Formats: sequence, structure tokens, C-alpha cells
Amino acid sequence: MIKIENVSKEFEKTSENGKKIKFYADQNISFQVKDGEILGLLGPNGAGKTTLLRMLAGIMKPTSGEIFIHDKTYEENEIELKKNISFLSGNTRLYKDISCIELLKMCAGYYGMDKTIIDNRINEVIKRFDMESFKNQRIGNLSTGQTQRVGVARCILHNPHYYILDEATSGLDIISSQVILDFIKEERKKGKCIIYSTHYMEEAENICNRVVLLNKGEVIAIGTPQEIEKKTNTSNIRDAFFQLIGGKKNESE
Amino acid sequence: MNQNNIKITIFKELRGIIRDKKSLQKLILYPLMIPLVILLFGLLFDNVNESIYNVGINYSLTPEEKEIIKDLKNIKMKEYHNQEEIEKAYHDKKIEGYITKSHNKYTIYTDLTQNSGEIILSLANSYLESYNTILGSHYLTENGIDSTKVYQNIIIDYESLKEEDSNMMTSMIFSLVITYLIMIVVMVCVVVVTDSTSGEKERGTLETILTFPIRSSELVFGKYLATTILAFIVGLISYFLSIPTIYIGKELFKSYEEMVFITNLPSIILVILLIFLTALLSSGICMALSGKAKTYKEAQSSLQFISLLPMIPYFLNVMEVDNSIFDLIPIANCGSLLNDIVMNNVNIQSLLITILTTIIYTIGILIYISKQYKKEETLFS
Repeated sequence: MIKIENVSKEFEKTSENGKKIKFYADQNISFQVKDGEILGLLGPNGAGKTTLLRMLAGIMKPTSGEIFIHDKTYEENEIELKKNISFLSGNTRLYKDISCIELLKMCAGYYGMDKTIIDNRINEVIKRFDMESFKNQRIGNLSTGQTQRVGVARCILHNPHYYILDEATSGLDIISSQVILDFIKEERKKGKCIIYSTHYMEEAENICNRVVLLNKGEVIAIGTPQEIEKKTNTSNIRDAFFQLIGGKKNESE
Repeated sequence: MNQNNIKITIFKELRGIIRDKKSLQKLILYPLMIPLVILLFGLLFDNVNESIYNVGINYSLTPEEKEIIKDLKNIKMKEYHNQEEIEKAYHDKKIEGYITKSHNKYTIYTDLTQNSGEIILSLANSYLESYNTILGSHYLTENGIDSTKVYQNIIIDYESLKEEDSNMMTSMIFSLVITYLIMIVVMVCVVVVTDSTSGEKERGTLETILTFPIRSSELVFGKYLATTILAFIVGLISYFLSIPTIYIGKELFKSYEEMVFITNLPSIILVILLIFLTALLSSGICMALSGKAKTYKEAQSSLQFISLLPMIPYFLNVMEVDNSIFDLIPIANCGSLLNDIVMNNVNIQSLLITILTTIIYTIGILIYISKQYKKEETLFS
């Protein structure tokens, strides 16, 4: 289980007149994600999704508040926690000069996987994501869909319990997107704990058990898509979102 | 620190650089410049030393003048009938300068902005002074006076306090080659560090790595060691490429014949140690500066000036400034000491100060970067 308690993240930026201004990317965010659940994180650009996910993945530290993964914080044991987490984001790119196999071997090394099982596990994920035909090609020569499949393959290689997925299907064609969505659903069935951030509200509505709506760094709603729609008296999560932010549809889009 | 993570990072960085065509080209080209510079300048200096300068004159040479010019070797006189003819020859580049004679006044015309002009002036001066002495001797002899009492009252001789090596220009080229050896080490660090830090940030792969169970100190140390290893290897290749090239140069070119370039075992060990120390310190400095850059280009431009640090002793040596002042300047002191080692001019005090300060600077910079790369503004700027 992932538990987030009053998490805030403060940044500093330089204003037009050269003065440094502090601002919150995320403010007092609290929610929980249970095992066997997909929690959707929805919100427009600048809502604070990526910062929140980076904090969840342990690559940024909250300014205040606590993140508990498996009842432990990153301060307690960062390395052990990271071994059980997988983070896939639009910002996490892959090395273009190495082949898929080389990348997977490198990742297995970083995750400290047992050398005797690495080759078998790599073969398993290659088969799982139909990468046989391009496994020895350099990543820079692959199509967007193939690259994303390699990205997902490297995420599941160490068989993590927690998935933090940021815009995992962004920019992909319908077939490549489906491969990833199927994989997410499959992992949920296995009891994995998944946080899934996306721009595509309909996609979230379809695969997420619950969603968290974020706007300007704050949580504006948490619940199942149906609960939120009922509460806002709308028929879909997109309309619910606009209802919650005050009906400024064009501005947020 | 997890050694496995450091090992994987080193291997990842080395593989990344070797597979990147542009970076690889640079790593190959830097050492190849050494034989190119040595051989090219050897050829150039030999040509300069063997050059014959054509000088026009508007008078006929006496047998005595012919004897003097014959001894000067590098100068050839061409007789012209009048001033117009001689000036035309100069404009047509048939002669590099000319001397006109009116009664007992000789005027030397030459382009002093050119190296050849200065050489012609010196040669012509020498010829005319010798001729003046001969004329004076003749006059004294004709009047029954011993000319040696006028012109040879004192005898001038000289002994060099240092072993004579060769002319200044070739010394400068050798010194430049040695300075370039250190520059290569620094330039490799610049290439590798910009790619492994700012390059990774810009490509978005740094964020991928940070999601792995690896401490930022392991990541930074891995990158630092990969840079040091590559810089050290390329520095060694450059050094071992320069040794045979210098010996071939000595065989091929007269200008290099008497040049000193020590390659005994102690000097080789010292040079290797200096290349290693330079690699250790330069990669640290490059990483510290690159951490402050937001983009690849910003990192490249902020690191450029470091490559010029080894040039400081070279330029100040040309200006004959005491080189003990370099002992405390990082990287520059390694360049200065390396020069002294291969020229067989090692000062133990400089050697110890350079080694000690480089180690202290390196430790300091490592502590700094290990803290710097823990900060979010460094990793996500």
C-alpha cells in the first residue's frame, strides 16, 4: 500500500523582474493506494502530477509531509524501496546507443537481480512484449511504439510490487497503447499497486478503480469515477473535472 | 557504496561515449594531432633553416664581398642596373629585399613585418660589418699599421652554462606538444562530462537512472571514474604516440636533432603519474562546473576555459616568467612539471608541491560534487 500524508513540494522560480518567488507545485496532498488497485491521477498541465510522481518514485523529496510505501519512508530505506518500485514517465527516456537486450541487462544489474535468473527473466519480458524481432537493435533505431514497449519491459523486469506510471500511453498508436493498458490490468490482477497518471480522462475512467483529480497542486476530488460523476452531477469524468474547477473548460484544455 | 552500481555506471558511460560517433571521433583525433604537429613543424623549421634569401643590389660585388657572402650561405645577391629595375624585381617577388649603394652609403630595404625581412636585415648587417672591417684592415695595412691592434685587441668567446639543446623555436614546439598532452586529458574530460551530466539531463535518461536503486553518490562516482579512466587512457596513448614521433622527427629533421626529450624509466613513470593526476582533477572540476549548467551547450561553454589552463605555463615560459609560480595552479602545474620532466629539468620541490596540491584539490572537489549532485536543482535544472 502507498500512503501519502499532507505532502507539499515547494519550488523557487525567478520572476520577470528578477526576484525569486517561492511557489507550491503540490500542496497538502493526502491519499492512499491499496494493493490490487489502479489509482488514476488526473489533471491539466501544471497541476503537479509529475512532481508528485517524482516524489513517489523517490527521486525528489517532499518539502513537508510523508510518503509511506509498504509502511516505510524513503528516509528509512531508499534503496530497498526503490527495488520494489517501477517508475515510467514521459520524462524517463531510454539510452539510444544501446540495444534492448543491453538495456535490460543494465537495468537488471542496477536492481541487483541474481545473475542466474537474469537471462531467463529477460527472455520472458521479451516474449511478453513481442520484442523478439528488435531485441538486438539499438533503441535509437526503434519506432515510438517499440521504444515504449522496451520502456515498459524494463519496468517489469525486476517484478516490482508498485508501479508509478506517468503518461505511459502518451503519443502511442492505438495498438501500442492497448499493449500497455493490457499489461497494467494484468498487473492489477496480480495484486500490484498502481498509480497511473494520464491526460486521457476516458482512458482513466476505463481502467482506474479510483481517481484523484488535481488542479494547481491541490486535490480537488478523490473517489471512483462513478462517485465523482454522481457528486458533480455529470456523466463522465471530463465534465466532472470542469465542473469542479468552475466550468472553465477552454482555459484548462 | 555499492560497487556493483559503480561498475555498471562506469561501463554504461564508457559504452555510451565509445558508441557516440562525434565523441569517439574527438577521442581519436586529439592524440593524432601530436605526430601531425611534430612532423609538420619539423618540416617547416627545416625549410626555414635551409631557406636562401634573394637580395637585390644596384652595384657590383668586390672579390672580398663575394667571399663574405659565400660564407653567409643563406643569402644570394642579384645584381641590377638601376633603382627602377631593383624595385620592380621586389614587387615581382623575385627578391625578398635589396641593398642600394650611393658613394660609401649602403641602405638595406626589407619588410620588417615579415620573419624573412628580419633575417635579411641581420644577414645584410653582418655582411656589411665584415666588409667594413676588411676595408679598415686594408687601409691600416697600407699605412704600415698592424690591423690586429685595432680590430683584435680583445678576443671574444663563449661557453654555455647549460647544455645547448637547439634553437628557441623547436624548443617551443616541443614545449607546446607537452602542453598539448595535458590539454588532451582535460579536453577528454570536457567531452565525457558534458555528455554524461548535462547530456543525460537533456536527453531525459538521468531521470531514468535516478529511479533505480542507486545512490546519487554511486552514480556520480561511477561517472567520475569513467571520465577519469577515459582521460587517462587517451592521455597515455597520446604520450606513447609522442615518444616514437619525436624520435622519428629527430631522425628526419635537422631542427630536432639536438632537442632534449627524456624517456628513461623514472621519467616515464612520472609522466604517467602526472597524466593520471591531471585526469583525476580535471574530471572532478568538469563535473563540478557541469553540474551548474542547465543545458548541454551551457556546460560545453562553461568548460571550454578549463582546456586552456595548461596553456598558461606555456605562454608565461615564452615570456620567461619564473615557473615556480605555477606550482599551486591546478592542472597548469601538471603541464609545467611535465615540461620539466621531459626536458630533464625536474625540481623536486615543484614535483612534491604539484603532486600534493593535485591530490588535495581532487579530494576537495570530490567532496563538493558528492554534495552537489544530491541537490534537486543540480539533477533537475
